[in-house]
Amino acid sequence: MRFPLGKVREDRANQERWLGRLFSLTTVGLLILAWASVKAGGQAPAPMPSHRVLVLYSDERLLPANVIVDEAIHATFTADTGDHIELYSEFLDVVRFPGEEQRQRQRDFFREKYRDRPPDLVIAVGGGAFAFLMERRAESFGGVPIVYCSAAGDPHPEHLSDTRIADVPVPDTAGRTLEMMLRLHPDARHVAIVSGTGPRDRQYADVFREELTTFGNRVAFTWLTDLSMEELRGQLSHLPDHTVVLYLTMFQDAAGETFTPRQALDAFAPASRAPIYGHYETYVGHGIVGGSTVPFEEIGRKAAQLGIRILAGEDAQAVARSESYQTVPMFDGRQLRRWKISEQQLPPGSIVRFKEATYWEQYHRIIITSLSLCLLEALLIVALLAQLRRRRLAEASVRENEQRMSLAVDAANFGIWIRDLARNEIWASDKWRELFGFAPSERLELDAILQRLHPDDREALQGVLAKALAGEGRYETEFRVMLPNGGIRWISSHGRVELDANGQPVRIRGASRDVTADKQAELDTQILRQQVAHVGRISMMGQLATALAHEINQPLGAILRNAEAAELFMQETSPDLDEIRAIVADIRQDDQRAGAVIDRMRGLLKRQTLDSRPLDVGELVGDVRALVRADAAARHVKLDVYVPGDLPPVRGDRVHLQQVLLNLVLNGMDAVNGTGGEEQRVSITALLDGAQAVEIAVSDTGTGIPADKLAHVFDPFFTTKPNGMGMGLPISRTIIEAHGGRFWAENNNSGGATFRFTLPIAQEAAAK
Amino acid sequence: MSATEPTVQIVDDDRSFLVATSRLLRASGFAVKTFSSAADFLAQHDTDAPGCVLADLQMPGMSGLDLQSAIVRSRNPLPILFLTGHGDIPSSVRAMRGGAVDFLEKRAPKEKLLDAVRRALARDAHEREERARRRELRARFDALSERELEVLSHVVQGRLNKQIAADLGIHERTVKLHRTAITTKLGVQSVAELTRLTLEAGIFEASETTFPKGQ
Repeated sequence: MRFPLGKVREDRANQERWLGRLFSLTTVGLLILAWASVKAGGQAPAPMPSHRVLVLYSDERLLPANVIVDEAIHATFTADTGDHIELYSEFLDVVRFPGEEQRQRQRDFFREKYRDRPPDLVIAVGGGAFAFLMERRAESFGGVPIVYCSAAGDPHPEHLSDTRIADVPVPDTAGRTLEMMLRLHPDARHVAIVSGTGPRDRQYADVFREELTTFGNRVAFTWLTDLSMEELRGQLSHLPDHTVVLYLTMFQDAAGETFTPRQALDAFAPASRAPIYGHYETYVGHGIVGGSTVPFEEIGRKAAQLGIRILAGEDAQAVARSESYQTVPMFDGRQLRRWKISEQQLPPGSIVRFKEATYWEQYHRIIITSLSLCLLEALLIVALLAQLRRRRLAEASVRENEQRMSLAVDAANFGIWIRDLARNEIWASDKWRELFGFAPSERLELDAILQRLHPDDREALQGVLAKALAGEGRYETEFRVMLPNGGIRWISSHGRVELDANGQPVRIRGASRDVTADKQAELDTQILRQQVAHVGRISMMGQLATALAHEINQPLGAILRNAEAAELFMQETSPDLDEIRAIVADIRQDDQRAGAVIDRMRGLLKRQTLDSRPLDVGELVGDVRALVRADAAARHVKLDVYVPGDLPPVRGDRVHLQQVLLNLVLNGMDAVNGTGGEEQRVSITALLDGAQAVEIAVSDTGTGIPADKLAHVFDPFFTTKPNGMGMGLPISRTIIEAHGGRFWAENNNSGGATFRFTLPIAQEAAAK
Repeated sequence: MSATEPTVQIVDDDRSFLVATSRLLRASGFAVKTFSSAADFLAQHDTDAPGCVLADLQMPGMSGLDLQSAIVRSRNPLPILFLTGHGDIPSSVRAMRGGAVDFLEKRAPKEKLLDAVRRALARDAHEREERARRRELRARFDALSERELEVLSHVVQGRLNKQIAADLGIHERTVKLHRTAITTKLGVQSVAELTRLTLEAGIFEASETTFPKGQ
């Protein structure tokens, strides 16, 4: 920088000179002068700097401390805007070039080297350099002010009475470090002090040893010195528990190998099983936990500042006195973590380097942002997971429901279908398709479905659907499906119409079930009922009648034979009257026997078999209707029932009354069956008959009863039917009369006959 | 061979009807015996006595049909007439298949009953005659020796004496002697009569095919 600056100044001076001469000299002279001026510009001697400063280092150039100090000194001098200062650096390298002879050679060399450029100030960096200067004060830049830039451990000789020497001693950082490490390791009982075997190592160690006396017996001190690097590593790796290590310097080991102290530290620190402390800033990051330090940058800067002030004319000693150093506790974050020392334990103002937390300091925004994003994302994920879980639960629940539903549907053999009215689409489950004989992929059309129906049922189903859509909202029906294979399947179908917000039907949902088996069972039941009805007819009426016939035929037969015998006897010329009397007596006896049979039957019905209890007329009629429904359908007889819901219960024997009613209805059906009339109808009507009785009437649309026969219908063995026994009505009347009711028959005005009987209202009901 | 008068055997649990019916039949000129149950009849009646059985179909204990099957197994099965208070078809079919002469309602008209009884007695008389003749024939055949029966079996098949001799391994003259003995014992004049009697007696009916049919 110095050369360009000077050149600019010269240029400007030359320009002024050139301009002055431009007007007074001739053209030739101008040319010569112009050349001369150019020549003079290029060869002008460098201008004298206002001050020269020599920085003399004890050690080699690359000693870490030196690098820092050198930088700090340069930066400080450069930053100073005052005089121009030219800096020279020299490195004694006292470790590698020890001995007085070396010093003398260097002294001679410097004297020659700086003969023409004598420094105005020398900064001695390190004890070695200072000692070199002081040894032959006169020969080494004699009379030039010296700034002694010392580090911890550097000796401060007694003879500092020289007023041109500025020495700001660095505080006892080793001692403070020791104090600090013992504070940080309260359970430490041993302190191992590592020091090299070089002269300077010994020198430093000696200085420290004196300070050590102040620690008394708080802990046991072990000096790890006079050891080769290998030995040192071995020792460090076998340190007892509760030991802390204090590292001073190691420029040289016992094997004579030289190091920078930091290199040595790098070599042995990994072997140590105890925390190492050191009081140089440069050790931080190379294996020490930390230490009380004076930063080298501070040392360098202060040296330069002192120099500037001295060069400015201030008194060196006075300047030095006005300055002092602050120690800075400095730590390696990684080591703190390794030895589990929390930052809270560190003294106030501590600087922690290499701490992971620096990431936080450096990147906290990013970290916060990232963390926030992560958190947000996590929350989002949690929310999503929660939602997913909810959905899964819901889905599982739906699935469960579906499965339950499908199980129920399967179990019930239901085929499900949905008909979308707006889109005119029909969806149906596979089961449904199977029921109706459609392929799983076949498109479903209402017409096609209707086409599958039995022709007799088609119209009925359309009617049912129309009614459901017109407002009933639901339907329940049964129909037959004609399968493509020719079979017929009975289907029971339930449907529900779904309305939109406006009440318009949008779709119909339904379930269909194969009820063929049910139908078959129903048919079987119908047949069974018919049989039961017939059997009942026979068993109650017929069987009774058969028994009655047999019972009565015996005495009647006997009477007949006796009468015939008597006739024959009387034809004889002299009839045996005794025989005839006996016959007549037998005839009378048999007649009584026949009467007794009938009385017995009546008595049977009256006294023993009546199980009288309150009966609901509607139920009674309903039972009979159920029994004959199939029969009526088969015979194409319409069966009507009119029973008011508010009829009081009657008192009677359910089974017997069923028989009576059944008999009447079957009679009625027989009566209408033969007519072939337009309307074949049998009606059962019940109504209140006064306050005490209910009248039940069974009327038919048959031909009625001939007027002359009307009086005899209740006579035993009276019958108009080819196979009739003539016992049904007499027995029925007997039953009704046993109940305390009346039984009669009449012809209808409109044709047909009506049989009516009354039953007393149950007392419990009548009392109300 | 009993000379007893044909008797109508009435079996009915109904005492009154039993008496009335027996009166009528007696008044009509029949010999009558009454039994109040099938068991009584089987235990007491003379199995050789001619007549017929008039039984109620429906009786407690042994029914009319049971009685019928017992009678059919006897040596001299009597024709049976069934009476019923109220006849049912399955019973009557069984009864007729079992050999019943008739099936009458208890209140059937007198003539119908008497006709039925007469028919039954006539049938019994005829069957009894047949049985007697058969027994007499059998008795005649029983007089024949084993060898004579053997020869007879060949004779009724129309074989010649020469053939019979060859079949049996005997001399033709011996065959002739056997034939003479047979005709004498059976009291027949011709081979045709011999054949008719043999068939009538039913001697070879079951075992005819076991005879060798010539060389």
